[in-house]
Amino acid sequence: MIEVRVPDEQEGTKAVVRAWLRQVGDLVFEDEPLVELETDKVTQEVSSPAAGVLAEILLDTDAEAVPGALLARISTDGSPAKAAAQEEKPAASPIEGAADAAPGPRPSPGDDKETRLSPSVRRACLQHGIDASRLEGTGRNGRVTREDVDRAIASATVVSVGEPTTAQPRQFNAQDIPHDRMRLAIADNMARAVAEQPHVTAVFEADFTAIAAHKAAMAARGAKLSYTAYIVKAAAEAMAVAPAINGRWEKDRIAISPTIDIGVGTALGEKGLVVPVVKDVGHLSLEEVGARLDDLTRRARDGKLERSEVSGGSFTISNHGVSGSLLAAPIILHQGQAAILGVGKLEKRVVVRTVNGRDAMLIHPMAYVTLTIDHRVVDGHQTNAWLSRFVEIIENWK
Amino acid sequence: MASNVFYEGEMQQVGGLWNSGYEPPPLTDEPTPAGQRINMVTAIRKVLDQELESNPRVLVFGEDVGPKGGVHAVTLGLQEKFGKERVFDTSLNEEGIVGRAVGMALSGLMPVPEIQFRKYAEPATEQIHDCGTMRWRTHNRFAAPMVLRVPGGFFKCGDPWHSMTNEVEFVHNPGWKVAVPSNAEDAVGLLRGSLRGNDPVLFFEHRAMLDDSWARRPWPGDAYVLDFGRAKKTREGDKITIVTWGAMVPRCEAAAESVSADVIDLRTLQPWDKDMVLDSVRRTRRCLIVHEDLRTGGFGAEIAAVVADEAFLDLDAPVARVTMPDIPSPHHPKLMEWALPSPESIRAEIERLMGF
Repeated sequence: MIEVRVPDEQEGTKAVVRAWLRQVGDLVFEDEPLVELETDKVTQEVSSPAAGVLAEILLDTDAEAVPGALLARISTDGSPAKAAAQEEKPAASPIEGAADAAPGPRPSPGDDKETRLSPSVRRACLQHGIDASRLEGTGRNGRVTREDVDRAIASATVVSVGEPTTAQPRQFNAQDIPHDRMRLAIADNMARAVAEQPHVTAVFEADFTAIAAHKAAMAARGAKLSYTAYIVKAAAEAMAVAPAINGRWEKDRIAISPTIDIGVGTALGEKGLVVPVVKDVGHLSLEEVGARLDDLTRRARDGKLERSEVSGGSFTISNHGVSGSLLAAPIILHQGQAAILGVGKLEKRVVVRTVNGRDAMLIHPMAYVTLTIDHRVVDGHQTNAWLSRFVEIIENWK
Repeated sequence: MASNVFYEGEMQQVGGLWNSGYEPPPLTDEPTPAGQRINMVTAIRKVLDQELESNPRVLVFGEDVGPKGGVHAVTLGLQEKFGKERVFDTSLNEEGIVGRAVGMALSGLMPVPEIQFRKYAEPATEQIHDCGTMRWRTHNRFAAPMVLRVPGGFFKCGDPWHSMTNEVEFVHNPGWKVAVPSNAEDAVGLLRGSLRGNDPVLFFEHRAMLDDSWARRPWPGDAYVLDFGRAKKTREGDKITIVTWGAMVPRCEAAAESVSADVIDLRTLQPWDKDMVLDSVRRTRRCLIVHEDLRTGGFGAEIAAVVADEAFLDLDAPVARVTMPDIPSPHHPKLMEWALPSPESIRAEIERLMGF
């Protein structure tokens, strides 16, 4: 028997089993996808580690998939009948009927820790936006009790506004959209960012004439690059004049990230938003940035991103202009980051330039760029210095 | 379809006190306890005495209730005082006892038949059932209000006949109200209200509580009436709700010693005080039901189902029961105590739920 386990790399967010792609008794090949896990950010496939027969499924649809938990067993001797027979074998019990006689809910299958939540705990967590998996359970086998949740609520610094919602399950209308994990995660991040980080936005304007020329020249040489690649690269370079923009607020200091890891907000239509991260942009060439972005964006839209690719950024860019917005002041998406760059729609505008000592009206590709900062981390001085440098790099691209 | 199971304010055309010019003495729902504590036997006898005195339509009868005064001495001295016409022995025929009570009730009297022990009510099953459904099946034309007194439950030792409780059997007879008092004060209030009421009442007198020291209470007043469906918290707390009645109340109190628990004595099962139980469970988030009756299909199963349904989102532990197992009551006191919920077994379940 070969065991199939939940991959270890999960970075704290919760995953659930979304769907089994193979059923007990099915023949499976090595690396054939067996099951889909869904986190708040990505959908992840777990493949069969070996060829054989899927003998046993231990985590059903909607079960929580903790890293390392046993998902399934693969029988490698290839006989479906044998696999089924093994499944039917009853568990040995020291006292006949003892398990039936014990009062109360059946113990959690598999491991000793009780991770299931009571109705009361579930509701309290929903009402107060608490992630029960982060609480230390004081109940039997580590179960999170309602008292544990109440303690967490009492010790939270955020004061809740208004009455708690109704005690009974809400009725959905046909046109209502029930929250999925991504919507809840976005809501949680946004609300916390606004509540905890004092936001200020500065607005500059950037002339993309030089970029447009460079982009066209590169395309002529067969290297297709997006504007985003230039913006990412320019943002990384601008960090030199205000390193704290690449930092984050900690209780006792401003922590400056050693590498420049830039997340790029990528819309998934009705499905929400993910932020894949280009790691260590400072050490990548423009072409490498472009290639990384293409790959991440494509896989983001297919829902195939790894957890590690949507976490760990030190700075974020919201390219809101691609869907038509001229000017926006985005919220700092990733908690703790010092700033977020917003880039508006690139369009031809009339600008006044001095040509040969005389003012002239010219037509240039322009975009508004905003830097929204956490005012705890940086002030207007660094903000404007950073934006000035960023615009300078864009306008003088060679 | 759902109306006229019980009296709803519109008087039936035939049957009952209230159709024959009955004018009740004044009553109050506030007890005014005064004087020495009296036991439940004395309290019940005193109410019967007063109502026989003030209401000539009241009749008390059953096996050995006359000169002997009943095997539990509840009716002691009543025949002597009120005469053989109003307090009298019957033949050993429960079907006849309840059947004649139905006839008396239809004629405007208030019969108080006694079934000597709980199990002896079974031969009267059909009469009891048909009495209960009368108002409904005649669309409120006929009704036969009465107070059927039934001693039962364990007392010192057990046995499959005298000691059974099986209150649910009566809850399952539509039209009957069911009282299960645990103490003298509640017995007074419920019995007096029943004797002045307009519905058949099954009045369950727990044998172990009739002379139990815990169940003794000061006389709650000559006008005290306790409405059905009003439970009482005998202890109050925040961590667990314990729902019980009858002889299990003092055991639950003992088990909940040093625990922050709401102990709720239901006092009546039909109707039962669902609101008090649900309000309490929504606060404590835990519910334990303790009863003497057998586990499967006992009234605790009904309470558990209602709590699981209506307080589901508030529960932080399973809804649990401590009951007799599904066996007849064993005779030997030690065996009987093994089968009954004890303060220890209740306590163990409280701890399981609190530590869940």
